Amino acid sequence: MNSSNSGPSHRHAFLVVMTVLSSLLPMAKAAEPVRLTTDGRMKQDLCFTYDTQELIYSVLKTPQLIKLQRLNLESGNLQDFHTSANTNEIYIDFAKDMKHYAYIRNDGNLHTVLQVQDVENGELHSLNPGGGFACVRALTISPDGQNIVYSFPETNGSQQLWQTDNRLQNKKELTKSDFIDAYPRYSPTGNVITFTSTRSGNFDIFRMSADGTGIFQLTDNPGIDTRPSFSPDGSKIVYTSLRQGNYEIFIMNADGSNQKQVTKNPGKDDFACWHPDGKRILYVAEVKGKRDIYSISVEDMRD
Amino acid sequence: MAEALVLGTKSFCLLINNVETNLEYAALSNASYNRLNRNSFSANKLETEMLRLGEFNSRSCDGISRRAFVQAGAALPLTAMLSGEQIAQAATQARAKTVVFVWLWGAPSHLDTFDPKPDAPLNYRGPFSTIPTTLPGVRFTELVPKLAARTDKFALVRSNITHDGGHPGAGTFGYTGHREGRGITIQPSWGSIVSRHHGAGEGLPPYVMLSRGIPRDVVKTIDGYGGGDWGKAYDPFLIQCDELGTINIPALKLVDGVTPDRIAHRRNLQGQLDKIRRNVTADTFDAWDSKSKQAFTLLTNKQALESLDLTKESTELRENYGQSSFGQSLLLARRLVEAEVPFVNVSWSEFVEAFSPNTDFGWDTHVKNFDLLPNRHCPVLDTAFSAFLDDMYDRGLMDSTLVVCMGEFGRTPRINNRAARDHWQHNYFSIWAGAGVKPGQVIGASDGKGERPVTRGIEPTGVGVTMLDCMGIDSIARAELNVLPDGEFIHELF
Repeated sequence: MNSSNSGPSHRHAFLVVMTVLSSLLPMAKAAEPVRLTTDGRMKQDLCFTYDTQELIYSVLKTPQLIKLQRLNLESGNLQDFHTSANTNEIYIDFAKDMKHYAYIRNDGNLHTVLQVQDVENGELHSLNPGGGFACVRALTISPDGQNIVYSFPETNGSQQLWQTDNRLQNKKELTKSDFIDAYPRYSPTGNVITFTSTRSGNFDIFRMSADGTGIFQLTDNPGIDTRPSFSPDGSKIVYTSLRQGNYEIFIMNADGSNQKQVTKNPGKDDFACWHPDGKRILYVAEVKGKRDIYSISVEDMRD
Repeated sequence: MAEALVLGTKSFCLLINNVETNLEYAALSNASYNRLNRNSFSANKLETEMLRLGEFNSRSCDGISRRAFVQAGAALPLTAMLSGEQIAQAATQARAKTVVFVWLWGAPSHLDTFDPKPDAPLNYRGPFSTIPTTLPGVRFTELVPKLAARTDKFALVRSNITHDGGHPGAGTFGYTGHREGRGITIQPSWGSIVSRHHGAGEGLPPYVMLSRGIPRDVVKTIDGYGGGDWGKAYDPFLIQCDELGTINIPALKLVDGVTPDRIAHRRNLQGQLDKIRRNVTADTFDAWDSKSKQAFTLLTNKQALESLDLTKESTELRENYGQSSFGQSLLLARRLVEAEVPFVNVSWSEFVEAFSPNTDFGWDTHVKNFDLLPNRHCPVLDTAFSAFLDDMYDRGLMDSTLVVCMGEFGRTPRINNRAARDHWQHNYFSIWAGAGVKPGQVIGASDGKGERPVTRGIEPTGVGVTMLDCMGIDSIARAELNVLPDGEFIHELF
């Protein structure tokens, strides 16, 4: 892959050729999806805990409330993550040592704050983006739990990625562009961040060093490519693509090569994350009008 | 008090002067003519009235414009008046038995859905790509692929405009064609007008609103949702339908001792009905307000009640609409069409706010526009409304049903300083289908950035006049009801 700072035309040509080639490949054979939930409610933002390996996601619990929920895959037990939550909570992520986690809370009218929970001492830190309509968007927490990267709009209509420490101090703007950058995710080592950006003209997948340098474009499709997430070993990225006119789950190598379609479902497949074993992908699929969490093995696709 | 005049042309027209308001109306309806006869209208002011025909500026279903009336009136002597029989023969019948008014409350972005501007700068066109539709040269964004594949089933208007940039004001404009505010008369909504014109039948009320509540923002409900100055008797009958198709009727909670929250569950329902019958005496019934009476009448009418029972639909069909309150409400709307409820309003949400505590995720995307639209709003709309159109056509209901889908305005073409879009009353879209609407066409056009129409702007009064006219509530009927003296019929639709 090529850096966005050099040879854009060559990079573009390379990406186009690669995308065309990948689209000509037959869909790699994946196992049948396994349905994990049955309530059919709207779900999004899937994420695993590192200790108990529970799946945490946000779900529309009532017509007016999105809650974080935990699903134990072994027992099938379902519980509210924050039992007393009485407003919308979305987009959670955990540090590897489970000492911190971060999420987004809807604390006012068209207003969201970033919250970091220190699990050991019980402290809750909150980053308020200011008065009026203001929303912190998607976030990711570094594997060592020291930093959080999140997306936030600028006054010029763009949206940038910002970094802050786990006490929500020392904010630093990682990306500076005229585009919309969103859905950041740290690599397992914490050295790299993958994210979605419109700098190619529509939503595509990019990656950069954790300090914001060396931005690479990984996908180049006229349809939406979004919500990338690294595999546990860092070699793959799973993401959602609308390149065929319907939301499907794809995987690719961490350098953007070897793009493969994982799901093929007439409904919407989205919000994918890797199981900690690196062999399965969990995602939300709309099947027969219901939005449930499915698991699909990608073991045979990891070449 | 109104007075009627009859003029002759190759076709015919009726002119009315409402004495109280000094407004004049015209129409071509057989039904209206009969009503006029019944009401003993006089025709003794013909000559003076003819000179004032220019006051009327509406347009009929048959395309008779104000100018046409003036010319006809000036050219014909009084003796050219047609007989009642001739009038009846030439009259236009109502095109629709039912209007389904689908309200995308909060106002969806027109650029990110049905009126994309791929050649505009990125800070206007946004991040979404466009896809072809079944109409050559017409493209939607990638967020509504199912509706893009169904453009042969509806007409799209891309030149709607309104006159208020706030939700309550634009909401009232969208429901009544009139402004709201302190000291201003609150006009009846389209559904209330239909309700009064048709009168109450047995069982189901004539104006049903399928919504979690009266459309509102976090501050207030809109003024124009119902009967307005006509009173609450003409308010909509509210039915809540959740994502599983479970029905709740809030009006019943107003009745002491009666709380049937879940009438879709038949065992529960029977118990609730027994309880109602035990508790209700003639005295208590008389003491209820009109909505409670309607609710009780509905619950004791088996046929009406069955219309609200979505378990009578096949599982496959219910799945096609999607597990969302909006989807299941559209399915319920189809059943109400079959039950010939004259006006069904399906509201996307109770609240406009897209992401606020204790609200239900409307289309007001001042923030997170480019997150919520692909993640939630557009997929739900695309699936549910496509299923509704398919179902309505499959059952042959579209010939007698007018479907209108729209919000209260559009959203700023230029992306705001929160990477989203604000209110934009200067240009938005509406979707029309059924009742003779010619499908597979785009009416009107916006400029290269989606900021203003480059064709005639279609105002809420035009939307209302067109809906009401299709229901046989022509300008004579509107004059009788003293509503909507203005408004230009959207003749391009037919």
